[in-house]
Amino acid sequence: MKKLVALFVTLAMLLSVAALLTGCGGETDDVEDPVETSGTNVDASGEDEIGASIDLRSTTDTSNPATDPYGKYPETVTFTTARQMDVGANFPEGMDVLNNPYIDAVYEKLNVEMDLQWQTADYSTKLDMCIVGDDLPDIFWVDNYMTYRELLDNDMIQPITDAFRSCAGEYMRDCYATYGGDIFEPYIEDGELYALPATYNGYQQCLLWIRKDWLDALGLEIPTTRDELVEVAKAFMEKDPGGNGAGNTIGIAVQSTPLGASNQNFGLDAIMASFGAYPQQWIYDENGNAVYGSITEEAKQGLAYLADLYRQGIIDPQFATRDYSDAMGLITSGRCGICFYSWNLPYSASEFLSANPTGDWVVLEAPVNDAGEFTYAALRPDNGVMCVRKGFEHPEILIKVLNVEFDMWRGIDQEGYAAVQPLIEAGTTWTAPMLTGHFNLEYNDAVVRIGELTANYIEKGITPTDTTEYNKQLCENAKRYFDDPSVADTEGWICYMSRYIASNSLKNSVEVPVAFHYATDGMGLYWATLEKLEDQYYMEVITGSASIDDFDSFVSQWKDLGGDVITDEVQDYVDSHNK
Amino acid sequence: MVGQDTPRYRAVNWILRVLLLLAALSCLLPILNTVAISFSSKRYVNDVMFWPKGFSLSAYKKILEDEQFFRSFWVSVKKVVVGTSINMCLTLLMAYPLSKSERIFPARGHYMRVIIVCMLFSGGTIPWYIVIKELGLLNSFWALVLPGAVNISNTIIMMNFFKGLPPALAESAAVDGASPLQTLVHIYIPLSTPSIATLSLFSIVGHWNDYFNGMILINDPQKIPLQTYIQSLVADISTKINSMTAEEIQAFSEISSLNFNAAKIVVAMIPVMVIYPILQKYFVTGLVMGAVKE
Amino acid sequence: MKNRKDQRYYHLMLIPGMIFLFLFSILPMFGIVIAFEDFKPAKGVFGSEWVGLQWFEYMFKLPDTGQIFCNTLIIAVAKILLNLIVPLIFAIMLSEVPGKHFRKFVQTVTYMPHFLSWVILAGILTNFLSLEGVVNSIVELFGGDPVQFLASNEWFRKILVISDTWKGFGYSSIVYLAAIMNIDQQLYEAAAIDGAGRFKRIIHVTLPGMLPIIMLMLTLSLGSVLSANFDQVFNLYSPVVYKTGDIIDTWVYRSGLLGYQYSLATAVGLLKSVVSTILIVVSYKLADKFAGYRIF
Repeated sequence: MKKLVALFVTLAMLLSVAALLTGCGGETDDVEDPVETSGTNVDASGEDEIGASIDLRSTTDTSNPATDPYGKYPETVTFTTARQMDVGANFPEGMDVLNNPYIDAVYEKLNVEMDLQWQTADYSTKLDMCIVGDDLPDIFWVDNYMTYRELLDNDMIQPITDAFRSCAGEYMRDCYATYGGDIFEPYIEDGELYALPATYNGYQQCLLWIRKDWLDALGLEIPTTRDELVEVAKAFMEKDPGGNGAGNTIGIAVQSTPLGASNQNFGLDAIMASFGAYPQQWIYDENGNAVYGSITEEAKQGLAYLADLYRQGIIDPQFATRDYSDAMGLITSGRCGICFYSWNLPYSASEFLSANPTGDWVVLEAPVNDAGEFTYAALRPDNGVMCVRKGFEHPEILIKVLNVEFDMWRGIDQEGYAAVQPLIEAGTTWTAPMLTGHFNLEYNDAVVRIGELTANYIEKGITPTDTTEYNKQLCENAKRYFDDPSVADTEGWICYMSRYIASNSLKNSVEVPVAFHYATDGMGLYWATLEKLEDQYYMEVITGSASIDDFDSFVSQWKDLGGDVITDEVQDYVDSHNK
Repeated sequence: MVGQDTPRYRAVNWILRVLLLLAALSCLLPILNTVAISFSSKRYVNDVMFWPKGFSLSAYKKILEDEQFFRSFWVSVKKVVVGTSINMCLTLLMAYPLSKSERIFPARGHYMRVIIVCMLFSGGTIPWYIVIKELGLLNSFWALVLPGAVNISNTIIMMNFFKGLPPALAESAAVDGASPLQTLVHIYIPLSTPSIATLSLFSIVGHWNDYFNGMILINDPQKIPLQTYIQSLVADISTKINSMTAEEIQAFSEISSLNFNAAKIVVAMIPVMVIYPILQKYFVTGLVMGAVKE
Repeated sequence: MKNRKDQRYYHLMLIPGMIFLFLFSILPMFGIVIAFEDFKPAKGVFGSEWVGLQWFEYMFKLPDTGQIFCNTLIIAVAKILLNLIVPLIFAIMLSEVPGKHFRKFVQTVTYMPHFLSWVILAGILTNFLSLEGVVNSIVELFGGDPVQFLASNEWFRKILVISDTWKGFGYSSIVYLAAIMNIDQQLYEAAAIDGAGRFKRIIHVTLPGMLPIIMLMLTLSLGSVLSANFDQVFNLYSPVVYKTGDIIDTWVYRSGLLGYQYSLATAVGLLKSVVSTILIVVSYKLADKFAGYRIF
């Protein structure tokens, strides 16, 4: 029931935002938070737009800075923190991690100061040292779920439920609402929220990228099924439309770890998904129980298919020794015209255009399964959390600092947005000046929202208004390339390909729910062994040195070596969190 | 010497030359590759073999603008100078008494056992970190040099070189009334220049290449040594890419551009490259050994 | 012979070094207890649960323990031997070749690869050994079939050992060169007067003169008999060559991916230390007995 309500609320949210974006104009962003005046904010509608299993409705009371999203403390409050070092952050002259517009704004608006205790490139080791030495900063980032569990089990972090309810700003609440509550579940314990998850927005599943100029040159149809894809790959290899020389064109660019997540770039998960197989994901079986995706009957079929592709030479014969940049090299140099990659391929393939000025891509939700659907396993909605040390008196500072920072960065606070312009112009890594480092707050559907903006601008000439300068710039870039591709400016091409073409090719994907994205206690002991067993068997089957006929014995071995124990643990988690 | 002019001798010399040259070439190739990449324009870095493609100095210009690079470079130089001095002083001081036989220095065996245990066993990173923290060394320059002040394998090698010197040397010095310290400084050290040069080189290289201490013990980027800085650059993009935003990916492929990194590696290699040829002049054959023997 | 005043001097000379060893090596050894605990950073070294030998049992009960230990031993022993022999031969060759400048050039150049990290070298090697790479072009030139060296269980260990030796031989030879320099010139002259040729001179003067340092280096390298160079293997291996390339350290690394396993890592470290100690003590005894030479 709860889920259903959440779904409705989310849908309503999406609709209202979409309405906003398509230019109904006029009303600004106060869609759901009417109470901005002082006094206790008892969310009148009684609806919880966030949809978590605990009550996270706003309890803002602006009479007290500790419960006011933007309240200024009468006396300066200092919090300690630590961060992963940002190398090559490109700060403009005179600015650095400790001296930039965000720091200034947080001080001016909240009267809060940051004391940065340490920065290192090896964050997790250093954090472990601090945990042993009982030397934790007040507010800190944890990207490892096991570390979070340990902090929780040993009573080293404090709940932030009240801080969130009273201080979460509008933008923050809006963002979380688009994730439908799932993002909070792993961090809720006994009715309290113990960490603030950083959003990892959706629509990152790998799509099929094919060289359109090659298809056209050979007069081929755009493929939709996997067998059609194989025919295209064969034609590319045999007829060599790229002029690489006989035998030098690679069928599909793949990297050495081809399976594991639907956003595994240069992977093969999409082909597996067309069989209904989601290796390395904890999916639901037909009875709603958690099952490990690598040991299903569908996985066996998919794996056999991949082995056949490798035997035919369609998968890059050398994929086992290709890393990410090697595979990218095949694409940018024009030796390969097919790969599976997220919508943002052009962002890391900026050299492609200069090497292939006439190169062009189609981006497809393919291959489809027998029912004609393109499916993918849901991705983990967060990529780490912020925790507050137990004993720190102002847990709300975490939330308040985020309010101020993201209002500036997203352009909600116009003045603040102007203040951060020097950083944007200098090309500073956006995480480097922020007090909260790598913590991101983004709408789950940010990619499609921007895709829609560019489509409206390019196709219908609707100028984006209610959006950030940054997004307007994206639209401009995309249109510039659309209007005259012969200029071939890289920035324009990147925005056109990814923000217009790819971002608008995400509409029909069907998300397959994933039961569990995290780690269980048992994994600490068994996982390395199980992973090795699986990786080795899968790779050997694909490359032909092991037989698919041994799949069943692989599965029983996997279960015996701890797989069953872990499956039970995952099932326990599922039972306790999806009441 | 006899027989140096026979044709056979010369033929063997030529074979040696060719073999050595081949070995040297094989070692030069990866260096050439790195240098060539560092001078190539970003567009071509994936196709560069041994000659730059689309010659460009942009990577080096970028280094000149990189303040952090120079700061870290300076920290590394300090670390090498101070660290190697401490290493070598302690190595020589310890190696001399340990090179004495148990007849002359009965307590030697006990010291040696302690040293061997220290060489073979370690408690791991965590207790090591706690001790350093309790000593108040965290985030100080000394954390980079003191934990490795004693280089045990260098000490053992030095001790063995000292053992190779005739005991008569020390005995005659003692007759002249020299203290062990004077004997070490005035007789042993001048006779051991090749080994001291070798071990200094090991120590310099060790200090220059070490990045771990800088990563764990230093909190402030202003104070990290160069290799720690470089280590943080050569991070593997494929492990991170799945959790980055599009803008981050773009920024990352900017900073992790191969030619820029290659240039950093080349610049970081120069100091240690220069040191070796300088130290080579201490590798002079034989020294005064003949003169000492009676 | 014993001189009381000298004794005091000897102790004084050793004390500064011993203080540092005490602080940074001996004191942290309390951490070895971590190997017998289920260590959790949050509970601390003395608060974590005691599990006795659980980690050692765990290590030996794994289905692929045998494979991992075999791989480690084979790779490490081959590296120890080649890392001893190749630099030794190289040093002798170098000392025999005339021409000071030529010698200096070769020395300096061969010492360079030591400064490239395995991350970088792995990239270059992968390139060289790929199907289109230099090595396979040569293979094809001689009519052979191209090989995917780094994805072949037959070749993987060989590549590891050869490339490791290649990377380090110039650097490792320095200590042997220093040893050759320390050999008494009079011995060479005496050999020359006896009419010994180059080869005989090497066998009878150079090698015996270097014997102590050779034995020392061999003994010291025995300490790494269960470490086959993590950085190298990690940057070159892939699941296809787990069978021949997975070593103890890569396995410990993978075990720690979900959350670093300090107890397991410490237990593995302790096991390595014990094995090294046994080997080193044995080789010390052997060297003492058969060569009459005390390394330590």
